[in-house]
Amino acid sequence: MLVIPTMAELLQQVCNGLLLGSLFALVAVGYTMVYGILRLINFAHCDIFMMAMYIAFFIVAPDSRWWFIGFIIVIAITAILGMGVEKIAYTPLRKQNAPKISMLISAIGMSYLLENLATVLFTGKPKTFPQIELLVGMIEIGPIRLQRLALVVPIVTFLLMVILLTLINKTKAGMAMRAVSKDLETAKLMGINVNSTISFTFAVGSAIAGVGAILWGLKYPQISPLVGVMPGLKCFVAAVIGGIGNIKGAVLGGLILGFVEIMAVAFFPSISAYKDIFSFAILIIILLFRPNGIIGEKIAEKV
Amino acid sequence: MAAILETRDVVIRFGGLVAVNLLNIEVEKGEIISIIGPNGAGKTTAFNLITGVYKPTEGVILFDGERISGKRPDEIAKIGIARTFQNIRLFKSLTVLENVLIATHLNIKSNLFSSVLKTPKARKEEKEMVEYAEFLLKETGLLHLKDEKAENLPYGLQRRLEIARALATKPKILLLDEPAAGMNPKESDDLTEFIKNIRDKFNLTILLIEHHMQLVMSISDRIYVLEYGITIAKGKPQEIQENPAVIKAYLGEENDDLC
Amino acid sequence: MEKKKRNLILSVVSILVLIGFIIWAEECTKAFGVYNQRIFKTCCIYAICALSMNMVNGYTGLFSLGQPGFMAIGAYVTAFLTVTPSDKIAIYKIVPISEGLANLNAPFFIALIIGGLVAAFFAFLIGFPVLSLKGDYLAIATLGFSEIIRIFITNAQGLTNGPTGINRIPNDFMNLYVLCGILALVVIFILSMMKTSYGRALLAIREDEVAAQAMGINLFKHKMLAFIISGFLAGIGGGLLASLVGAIDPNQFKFTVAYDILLMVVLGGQGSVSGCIAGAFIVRIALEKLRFLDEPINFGIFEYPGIGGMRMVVFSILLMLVIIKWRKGIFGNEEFSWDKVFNFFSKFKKAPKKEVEK
Repeated sequence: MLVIPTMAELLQQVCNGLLLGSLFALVAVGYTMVYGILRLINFAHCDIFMMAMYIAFFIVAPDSRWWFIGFIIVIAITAILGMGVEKIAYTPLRKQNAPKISMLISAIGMSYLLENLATVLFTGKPKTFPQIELLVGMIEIGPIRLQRLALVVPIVTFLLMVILLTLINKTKAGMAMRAVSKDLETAKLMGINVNSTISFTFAVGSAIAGVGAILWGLKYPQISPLVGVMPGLKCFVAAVIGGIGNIKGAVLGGLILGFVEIMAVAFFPSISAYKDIFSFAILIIILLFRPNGIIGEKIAEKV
Repeated sequence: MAAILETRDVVIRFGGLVAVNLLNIEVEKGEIISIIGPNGAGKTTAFNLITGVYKPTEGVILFDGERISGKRPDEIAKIGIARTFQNIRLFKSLTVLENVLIATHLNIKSNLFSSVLKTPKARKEEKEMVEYAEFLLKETGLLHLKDEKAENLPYGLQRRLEIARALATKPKILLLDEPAAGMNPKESDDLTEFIKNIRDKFNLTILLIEHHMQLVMSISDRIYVLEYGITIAKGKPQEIQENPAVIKAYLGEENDDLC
Repeated sequence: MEKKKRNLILSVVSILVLIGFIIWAEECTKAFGVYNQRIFKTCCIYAICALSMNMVNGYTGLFSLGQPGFMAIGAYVTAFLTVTPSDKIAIYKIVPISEGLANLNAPFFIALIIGGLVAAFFAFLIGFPVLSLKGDYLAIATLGFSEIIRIFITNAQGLTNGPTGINRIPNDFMNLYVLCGILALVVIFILSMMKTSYGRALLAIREDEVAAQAMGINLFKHKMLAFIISGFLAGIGGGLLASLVGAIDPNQFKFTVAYDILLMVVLGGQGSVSGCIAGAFIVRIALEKLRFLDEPINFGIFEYPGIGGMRMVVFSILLMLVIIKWRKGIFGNEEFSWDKVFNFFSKFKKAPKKEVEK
């Protein structure tokens, strides 16, 4: 069962774990931001991620010389898509003061809609994500051979996390976000424009999912309407493991999941068919021992 | 006489906030005890500690000499402590009768299958439950409304229904969290009578949180005064009324000349 | 009392009409059509699945999406026990089945009940870690477990025949009498259970967990009860589905199945048996009838080319519309009653009058 890898292989796997973990982290951040502000699992987040991959395909694939500008356009469109999802699926229910479960069902409906829409628009046949040689090319560092992505992705993730934390903790918009997430009603009374704050949160979360989608597509180039589902579930799990509502927690959770998945397969190749269930197993263990995640705060219910 | 309910040096902290500090309450059988104090003094937290919603960070809570702190709320309800809620927590979309019936469930003997199959025993038990629930509704003057949805009741009656529901668990101690909130003087006078009445009829010990001073003074055997989680005074109503610390807590230092 | 008598007569008459319809639909295959018969049968099975979800989501107020997993367990157990030993040996090509397993066989109804019980047992096991979770955490955890079950089924080749699945499942009992009969039994069970003290305890948990616990209701025990019953019913639903379709594979039990069932429950009204049945029938029939969207239509002037998957787009838009505009569903959390039907129509009659008065 157990296969002991050589040192070089181990280093290689550490890099792979870091790469996958960073990808998870990017998507997990979007879940955690929306959950933090609305206390809602945005089931459609993974489909925004999927849509971003398609958008990138259509914008960048025809002429990949201008890939950098193309990717920026993709990220912008994804942000708008995220805001649109919020306006269509959540705002009407929020205005009705609907119970949380209705919001959750609406989220599921939105997710389902995007998946089916993608099937109709882009057909179920998988497409190949444009490969940018500069990013996917191989480099050699000592004994290990890596895709450049393995360096790019963790750096991008780290930078985005720093920017995001600054945004949330140091800017006015960030202060509004924190206020709304603490207490939506009071924030409203204090004159914060709750609707635009929520829109902004969705835009930022979706933009980061857009970045995640592009990097994911470079690493795993196959695009299909259901491509977001598994990463989506795992990234939500990552957000919960870290402590949902907490940006650092989401990144930490993503890295843990990425490492566990890569390492388990590296050490126990025979169970690789079961790799998709590790994340759920970890989720259940974490929820049992630390229901609020590794660095999550305890939220006491008022009686 | 030994206390039926006793909290010994109970402390609870939420993060850095000490919500209740060294709470020592002793309640004897048959007493009516009031807990008063300004908003945020930790009164409801004390109730939540006694009923098991929160677990004390330090200290123990004893009921009939047995430790109950650390037990779940439903276990504590079974032992004989029932409560009402400050912000009324009825089963809103269920009927008045169902609300009370649900509270009789904790003593059920039939299992699910005999209940579904309606064995004679289960049928008899169900009948007894309904009879007892109707008896309680009659005592609380709600019988004519038994098929009404709880959410359709006027506010005062909803509070009554909460008491009826709590009584249905056959408690030894009843904890009332601001039973007179939102009532006019006439209604709160009625409530005073009503509480005394149920105490005698159901052989209860009553612990209540209340802001309505007239009610507190006329009903209580003893009073505890909390401020910032600390017990600043305890004693008979007369003693409390004259206690300078209490007056200070309620009216503030600067306002001495106003009294 | 007049009303009571009227309602009783109406109920008896409509039940008789319903039974008559079922007999006609079953016996006069030609008039009703094999296709319609099949839709009717599928509706009955999904109604059971919707009722299973309703037990947890509608009555107990939890949010579980574990149905596909329990259905898969019920389906595989039933299939495994009803396929004949020689067929099993023929089907299991990649990893041959051991002789002992191949010889395990049971009559359909016993297999079905064993399927339900195994699903219930898994619900019991899963319930321990997940039932203390709240709201959406529970949804994700049950969804996760449902996927775990599916991945295990995909990989346990020697037992489940892996991704190929099991076929040649006998469908001797898949007539409308059996399916409607089982549905009726389930409905009677649920309705009588909800009238017992245990049923009321579940409703109390839905209404207010904190208050329910303060009134002495053991939350975990009662949630577990609902979860196990729900698992059992989903297992039965899965077993019936396996038998009706004749062939199963892991992909039939993807978590999106949970979304379909959720739509049925929400559309009909969470917490209402009549709602779940109505929801199941409407959704299943709509899904079938919307098939025209996937096929070309000639409007004379222009031709609609037919877009594969369009039906699912319309379907998901419907789900969104229902939840946004019609959150409580057809029945809310109440049951069908004749009084409501009459009130509903009298409202229509009165409405124009008011306008005149203005």
